[in-house]
This record gives sequence, structure tokens and C-alpha cells, in this order.
Amino acid sequence: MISPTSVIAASLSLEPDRAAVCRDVHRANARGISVLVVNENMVVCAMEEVRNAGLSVQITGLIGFPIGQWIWSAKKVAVDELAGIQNGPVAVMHGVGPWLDGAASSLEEFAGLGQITGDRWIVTSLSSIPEARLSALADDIAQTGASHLILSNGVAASGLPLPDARLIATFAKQVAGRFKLAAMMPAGTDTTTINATLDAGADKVVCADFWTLTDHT
Amino acid sequence: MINSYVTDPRVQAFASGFHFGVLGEEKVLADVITEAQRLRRSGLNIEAFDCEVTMLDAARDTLGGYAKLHVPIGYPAGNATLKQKMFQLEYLLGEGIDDSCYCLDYANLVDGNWDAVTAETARVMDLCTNRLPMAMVIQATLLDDREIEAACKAILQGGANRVKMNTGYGWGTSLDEVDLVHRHFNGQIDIHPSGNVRNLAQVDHFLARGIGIVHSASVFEIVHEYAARLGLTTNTAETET
Repeated sequence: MISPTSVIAASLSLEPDRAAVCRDVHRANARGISVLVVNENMVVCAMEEVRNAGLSVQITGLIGFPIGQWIWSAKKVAVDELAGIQNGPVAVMHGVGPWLDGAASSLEEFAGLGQITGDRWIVTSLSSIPEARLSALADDIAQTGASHLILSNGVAASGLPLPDARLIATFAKQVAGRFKLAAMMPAGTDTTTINATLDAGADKVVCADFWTLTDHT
Repeated sequence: MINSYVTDPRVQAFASGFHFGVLGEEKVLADVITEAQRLRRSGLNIEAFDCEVTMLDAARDTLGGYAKLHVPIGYPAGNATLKQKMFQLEYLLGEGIDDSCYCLDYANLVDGNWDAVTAETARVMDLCTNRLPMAMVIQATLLDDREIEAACKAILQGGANRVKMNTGYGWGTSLDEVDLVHRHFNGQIDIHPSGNVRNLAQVDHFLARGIGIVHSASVFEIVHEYAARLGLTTNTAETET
């Protein structure tokens, strides 16, 4: 089993199901997990459940998931909108392609994230980043003041693998505690793999299967 | 190198119904430029080149008007807030792009909230009508037959008449889904198959149902297959290089 303190709950199915989101709100709360991440368009539904049931779990809408390739001015619309709705930190997916290019859109987004007050998380796909550039990525994320970087596989069908334990260990050394690392664990990931990820240096795992993976005894 | 068969008007007419492009989280400028250059070198007059908004300038510069530019909204999961998607639409209108598709909120489709689908479509069409050709994406793979039919009705009620069946990324259009929409809405809805379109047999199936736009990452291979069938090339394995 995985400790709830190491888990960020996820209800991010790309086959949307409001009933499943509402169920996950209750399950995350029951497990004592602090944050449940949902798709942007599910924040209203999840927050209604939190309010109506008087729950303490924080809801965060993951903006730009699963590709992150829209420009910052569009994502900022959602940042501002969700700020008035959700009770969890801001979370924005950063397109790995523009970051690899050092594109103006990437720089603008990091600058914009740096101006947000309050807790903010960034999400990106680590596996397509060459190891030689991990240090630069860690520096860029740290500079935004983000408290967490979630390592995503985005749209799994695109073929991007999740970072393995070795890559996470390498990256964790570059991060050097400047922000927390959280690795997405797709549904069905076994506890051995999850523990290996945590042992390698991930501070948290983002789990869709958090209900079965966490101990409730 | 341009294949000699591109001078055949039948080949160009066939190619003119395709969208081809480079989309995805890991795509970099070099990917877009390489594929846009490949398209220009091919000599094929396809309908449009699809790219992410962050790559629009590179695609525009490389293609130089060679093909229309298509940028999707809320792609691929339709899960951005409505407010953000409307911002994306207004941005693209300001950019003067030629064509787009709009990923509806799939939760409304899955939940059978057809009034919401109509309302979202109407919001989009209020801005797009006579300004930007727009296809509404229904991610048909998530839906059963009755839901696909209801989704198309809701879209028609919202004032749109172009439906893109899926987005790719593992959501591929089946022949049955296309047949279903064709059977119920022939002449009312312009169907755009997208996702997992890989060979000529699939495209033949679509063309037989009057479909005019097909999205495929395999356009060069499919056009080559078509040219081979016409006897314009003997090497079925060869594609534009």
C-alpha cells in the first residue's frame, strides 16, 4: 500500500464521467488525500460535491491537459476563471515541444506562472526531454516559484512513456529540493513500480487508482 | 522529389480532400517545418495542414500559402473550460486562420446533455458563421449509436453542419460510425473522418458516402496507393521522398 501523504489523487479520465469525478471527490476525502486533480471542465462539478458534502479535500483543475500546447493567454483565462471556483492550487500543463524549442510561448508562460500569487503546480512530459537538458528544465521550473512539477505522460496514445525510476533519480538530483516532484501513475500501475518511483526521488505520485492503492485501515 | 503522378488531375482531385499535419504535446518546430516542407515538395494540393497554435507562424512561413492552415480548439479532449475555448476561437479568428475544429465538452455528450451540446455549438457558430469553417468534434468512439445520432442532431440545432468524428490519439474513426451518421444525416452533415485513417480501402469507403474531407497522417502513403491503382506507379511501397 501507498501512504496517502505520498499521493495526489487524480480523476482525469479522457472519457469524462461526472459520476466518477463525484465518487473520487468522496474517496479522496475519505482517504485523507489533500488534493484531487480533475480536468478543467470538471472543477465546477467537483467543487459542488465538496461544498454540498462539507468535505475538506482540495480540488485542482489541470489546465491545458493533456497536451499543453495552447498559448499562455488562453490558459490564463482558465487560471483566472478557476481561481474563483476551485479550492486547490493552480496547475498548468506546459507543452514540452515549445519548451524544447525555447519558444517565446514557453518563455511567456513561465513568466506568467511566475507572476501568480499562491501555490502553483506545473505539469509536463519528462520523457521527451534529453537528459542533457534536465538541469535547464529544473532551473526553469524553480524560477517560476512552482511548488510541484507533475511528470505526465499526457495522452498515452501519443506513445510518450512515463519517466522510469532511473530518469526520475537523475532529474531529482537536478531539482535538489527546489520543488516537489510528482509522477503520474496511470490506472493499473502496480505498487512495486510506484514504490520504485518514490524511492527514486519522486516526492509524490499522481494516481487514478488511489482508492485501491492507499491504506484505509 | 515530386512523384510524376502528381501531374495527373485524378490524383490531385483525390488528394484535395485530405488534411495532414503535425499535432501533439512533444512536437517541436523542426517537426512542423519538416512535414510542411515535405508537403510542399510532394506537389500534392491537399486541403489543409493541421498544426498547434504555438506552431502557426512556422507552418505559415514554411507553407507560404501552399495549403490552408487548420488549428484545433480544445484539442484533443474538449476538457478546457468553455470560457477558455471561446478565447481560443477568438484568438484564431484574429489570426486569420483558414479552418478549425472545435472539441465539444465530451462530458455533455457522454451524459446525454444535448441542450448543452446545442448551446455550446451555438456559441461557437455565433462567432464563426461566415468567418471560419468549423467542424464540431464529437469523439464518436466514446458514444454509442444513439448518442452519436443525438449528438449530430444537437449540433445541427446549434447551427453547425460539419462533424469531425474523432481526434486521433487512440480515438479512431470506424467505418460503422461514419455509416451511421451518413445514414441518418446524409446531405445535412458534412462528415470529417479523423483518427486511424491509414489506407486507401478506408478512404474508398468514405468517398463512396460522399465525404469530402478526411484527416490522415498517412496521406502520402494513401495517395501513393491510389496512384498505384490507377497504374501511375508500379512501386506500391514507394512514397514521396
